[in-house]
Amino acid sequence: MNRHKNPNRKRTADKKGFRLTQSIQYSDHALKSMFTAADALLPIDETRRAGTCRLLQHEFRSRTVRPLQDNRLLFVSLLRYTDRHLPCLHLLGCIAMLLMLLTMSLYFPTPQDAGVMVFASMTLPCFLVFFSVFEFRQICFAGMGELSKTCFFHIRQLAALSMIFSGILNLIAVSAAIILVGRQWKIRLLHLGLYVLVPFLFMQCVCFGCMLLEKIRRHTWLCAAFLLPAAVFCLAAFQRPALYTESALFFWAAALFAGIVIFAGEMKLLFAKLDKGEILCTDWN
Amino acid sequence: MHRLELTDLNKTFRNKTAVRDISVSLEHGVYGLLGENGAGKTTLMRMLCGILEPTSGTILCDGIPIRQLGGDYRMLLGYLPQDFGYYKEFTALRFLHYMAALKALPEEYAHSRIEELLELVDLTAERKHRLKTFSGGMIRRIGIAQALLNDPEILMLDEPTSGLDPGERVRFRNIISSLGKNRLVLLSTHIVSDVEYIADRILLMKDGSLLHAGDESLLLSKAAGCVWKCLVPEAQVELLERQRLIGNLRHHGPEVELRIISAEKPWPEAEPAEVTLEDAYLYCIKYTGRRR
Repeated sequence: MNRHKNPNRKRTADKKGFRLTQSIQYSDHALKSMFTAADALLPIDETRRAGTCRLLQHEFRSRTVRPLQDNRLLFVSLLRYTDRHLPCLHLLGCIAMLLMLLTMSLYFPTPQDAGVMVFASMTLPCFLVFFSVFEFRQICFAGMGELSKTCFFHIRQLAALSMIFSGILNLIAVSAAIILVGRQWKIRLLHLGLYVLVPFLFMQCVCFGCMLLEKIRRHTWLCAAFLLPAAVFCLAAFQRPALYTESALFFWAAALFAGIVIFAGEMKLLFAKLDKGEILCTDWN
Repeated sequence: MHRLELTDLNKTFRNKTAVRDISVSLEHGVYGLLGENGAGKTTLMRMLCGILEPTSGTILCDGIPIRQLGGDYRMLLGYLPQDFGYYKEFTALRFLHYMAALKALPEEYAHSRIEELLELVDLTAERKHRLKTFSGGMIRRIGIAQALLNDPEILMLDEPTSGLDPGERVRFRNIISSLGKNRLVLLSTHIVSDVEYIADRILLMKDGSLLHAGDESLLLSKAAGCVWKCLVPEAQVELLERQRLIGNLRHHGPEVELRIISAEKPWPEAEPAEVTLEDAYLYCIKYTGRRR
């Protein structure tokens, strides 16, 4: 353990009677530099190097005999013991959104009410984004993140699982809303799909953008303070009738594409930050 | 048994260097990681657990970078963070089952192991109580239980005994000590006596650097001849406190018994005293290493 010990070597009396006493003192650092310099001259065969690394890993695995559950059972037991509060709330949120649209369809049944219903179907799904964000936040930033990053089932996988689950739930709810409103008020599903998905994606980008910022991420209320003006802006921006003409469809398609690109970029950044680990533990000492 | 090798490890957060140039090899046994608040102990542990990515340097486990080992390395690992989050609505039993699922342990194995560990940490009676009703000490105990779930060969414990009462502390010291026989245990603590009792080797950190890595006797030898005991009038205490490093202070009527760590004789009547680990720790922290 004592890395600071300097080796003192004495050579005495060669065969011819010539006495040579030499004291060589090298520090660990000097020795290391000498080895590094000598190693630098050796040609390295990358194929053999990769092969040796594979062998080492195989050897490592064979020595770490551990009871390990197969993937299917692992997934089942994870679902069994994981916290289901927020996913259940999310599901309830989706049902409530669809019920609200159904109730509104009773109050606004005429073709003249189509505008109101389109606006409602654009607004209500935006609230589902909050559930996705809270689920993600709970897995990564509620304190369990640091611990789960040391487990076999990694924080990255947990976060991805949560995103997939909430994404599927949101997509089902949004699709149901599009079909419900589109069928009843005879609006082309492709048009309505664009109208609904653009503000939904805009809110998703704002929410996950907030997750990238340290201060906002840590405080729920600060997060809400950012999201509320974003939601108001979104609602105000989409109230112009000119936006709902045939010629404006290109704008919607471009906005959807931009939203997808921004969201994918945010996800990539967020997952890279999760890998780096600093956002899981902000106290640095 | 596994070997962890740290080479020129550095970690910088924005403009703060939390860990600088640490090179050390860790094999089986209990390692006590000592240092002041902010010395970089937790950052070092987090890097060893793969939570934080080092800014530079490498961490090898049996010659392979831990990032490359990924899940294989995490299977070997048990970690108790200083403050760990938990779902407050979970019962102790469900929390441990959830952690067992994250550690990919088979259901049957997890069942028996959890019962065993609840017994070990003396929480069998509270197994169905919600974590939000637990005291700080009980949370610490459940944290230790989750760290031991997968029977880890590399165990990292960040302040494991903080918040435990003296009886529990002694019990955990013995558990940790017995665990260290055939695995690598790295224990970070402020409580020098914990390290004194159970650690085979001591790592001493200051300002992100490793001041000492070796056994206790080596650390004690650094402060040899620098620990003094003396009785001084109460009026002199303040002056001595300003000039010297006081290890201990005890009132004896009009006089005060001081334990002083100093290279020179601090008081005419001072007598040399036997060096304890606490003295050596204070000596190294005060008189060696760098200041940011």
